[in-house]
Amino acid sequence: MIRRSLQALTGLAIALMISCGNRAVELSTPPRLEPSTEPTTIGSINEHVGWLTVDEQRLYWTGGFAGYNDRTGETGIALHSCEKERCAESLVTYDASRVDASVGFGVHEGAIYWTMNLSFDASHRLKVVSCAVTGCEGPPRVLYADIFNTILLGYGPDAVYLYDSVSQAIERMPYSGAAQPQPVAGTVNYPQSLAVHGDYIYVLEPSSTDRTATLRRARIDGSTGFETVAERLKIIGSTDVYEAGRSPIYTNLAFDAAYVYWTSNTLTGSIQRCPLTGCVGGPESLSAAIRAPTGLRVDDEKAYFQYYDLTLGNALTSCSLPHCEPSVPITNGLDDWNVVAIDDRYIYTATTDQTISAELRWDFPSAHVRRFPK
Amino acid sequence: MTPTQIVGALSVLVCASACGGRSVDLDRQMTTNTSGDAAGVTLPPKTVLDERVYSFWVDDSRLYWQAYLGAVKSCIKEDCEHTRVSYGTPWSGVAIGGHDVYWIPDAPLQSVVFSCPSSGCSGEPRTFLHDPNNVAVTDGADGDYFYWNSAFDIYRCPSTGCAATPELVAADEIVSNTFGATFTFQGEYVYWPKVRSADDQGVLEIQILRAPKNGSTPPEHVLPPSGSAVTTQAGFPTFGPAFAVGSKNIYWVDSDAHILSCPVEGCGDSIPNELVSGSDLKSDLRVDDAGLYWTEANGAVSPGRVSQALHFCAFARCALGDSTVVIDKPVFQYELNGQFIYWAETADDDIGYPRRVERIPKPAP
Repeated sequence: MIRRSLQALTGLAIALMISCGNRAVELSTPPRLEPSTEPTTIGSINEHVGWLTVDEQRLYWTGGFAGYNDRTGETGIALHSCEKERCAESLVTYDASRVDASVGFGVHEGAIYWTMNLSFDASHRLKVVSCAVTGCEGPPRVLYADIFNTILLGYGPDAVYLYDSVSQAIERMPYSGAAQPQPVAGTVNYPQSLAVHGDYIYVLEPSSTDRTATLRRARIDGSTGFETVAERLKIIGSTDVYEAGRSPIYTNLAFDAAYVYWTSNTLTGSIQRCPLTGCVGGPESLSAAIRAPTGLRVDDEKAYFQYYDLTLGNALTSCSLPHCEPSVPITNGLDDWNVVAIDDRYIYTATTDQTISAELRWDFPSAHVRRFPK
Repeated sequence: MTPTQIVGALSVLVCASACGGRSVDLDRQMTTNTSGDAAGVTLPPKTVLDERVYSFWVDDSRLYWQAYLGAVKSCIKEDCEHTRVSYGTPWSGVAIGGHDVYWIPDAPLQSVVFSCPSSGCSGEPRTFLHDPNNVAVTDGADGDYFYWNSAFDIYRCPSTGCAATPELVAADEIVSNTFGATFTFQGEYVYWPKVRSADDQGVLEIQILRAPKNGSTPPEHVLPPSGSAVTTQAGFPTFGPAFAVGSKNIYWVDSDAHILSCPVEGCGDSIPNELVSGSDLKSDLRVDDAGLYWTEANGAVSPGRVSQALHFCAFARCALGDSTVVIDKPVFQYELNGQFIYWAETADDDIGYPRRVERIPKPAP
């Protein structure tokens, strides 16, 4: 698994390096978010949107625009937000070029947290930083200056949780800051997904004997070790191939008040869930076969996710719960694996008109940030 | 033709004559090339393709090959020089089936399977399959469907296209593609090997499973029967797995290098039938209506090649120990089609990949 993780990072680095090539990349090129008259388009931006999330006021995303710069260590990935109702006029850039996009970012109580890349070697050194969601006034606040060997992060109600690939432990870093991250649970074998919900940390842990995954959880207060929720799940946690520089890691877990949900993201995949109280009898499959579903989000009534269509590419759809019959595609051409977000009224995503370059180049990245009524 | 080839050709002819009395049912094209009598004709070996290859495949009309450091190509067997077409450069997963050629292209599009009509691509290859999560490594085609092994399951899609969710052939099954093993189609079933290390000496233990092509019933274990093994022998360079499926029986090389058989559905409680008992290392077992073919390592050939001669025994004579050396050269790969054996010799240079593909008539049963 460590090999796969390193391959993922290396692959991302290689992809970004290829996209950078020998050209003189203008890393200071500001993003241009152009308003649109198209009713479902919030704005069009000269970036590749890799991760997208939303809160009550704002929309947040990572934007890749150039590619990894092996001279400066810049990843060529920025972190932005805007106010949902006047996005083009309120664009904020938290980090212009050094976001480590392999682990996403989190928003908590008026602040945004992300990881800045310090190196692209096997140690995967990161710096966890924060700014107010309204924008950084001066340099970002540094929570932890130099973290080694971190391959996953989760953002909980009180802290950032990270997986340390050397100690194989989940460690806790309070948003308020602390001297060093503290272990909170037993060891896990290179999880492919990490999420915090309620009192628990959930991980998808690859099987040691095949490529299936085991859903496990432990209390964030460290009072329990990891327990198995469901096992032999057909979930591919990260892409084995790197297509047009897309993010190598999927987010696979979603929650409502009573269930944890995930997608079995094979070509005959499905939406599945287990009760938060325990998964007696095994997971419940909510759908017939869906082609490579990912990017799952749920609310009290529906599931929203992307799936793969040979003609449409990555398409966005929804279905009622618990008996999920996917709607006709809401839109298609989604820009990455982690670009589905929901609030009370809308589904947000990012689409692109770009076609995949055989050389993994996106010389002129562009995406449309969009929303659709639920 | 080099002196070595001439000697090799003569040896085949001598063998063919020695095995004489046979009536070789040559195909139409070959008949027009001969002045042989009705009792039987023998033809000289023919170089079908004079190009270095990684691997090759044969169907009733065409020879397909992956060129050394190059693309998948094909030609009409009887006039290869003037009928060549090129499809694309593969990373792996070349499959030939019916009227189509499939391949996984080189990086970065390794999550894609391309296809073209066997007669050649008209324009860009068709994106037959795209699995954004995974690369299909082991694949096969039976003319009507393309089969492949995903991360967890075995799927198939009609050769007409794979836009919908695939059909599930076998859940929770992984095909081992060690030594080029892949799917074998026979009747309404698809067979595949499952390989695991049997020890730390490089010996691999093979299980053979089968399932209806349409996945209508769960996979079933076919080989090995209790008390036997399907094994590739340590250190023996092989191209294909040590099993073959005929219309009625399945054949395998066991860990003692004996060739055994049972009915295609498995041995059940019956004792396997031992057909070949010689203990020289055997591999790349094939079967046709007349008998069994296999390669056998029995010495070294300069410069530093394993002999890997091609042997044949007619069913009626196998148990008598009456087998024939059909090709007494280092056979890199061979394929059976119609009345011919298509084969390629391991090159006597540092590259090792064959310089050409030749064919000879099959031996008489």
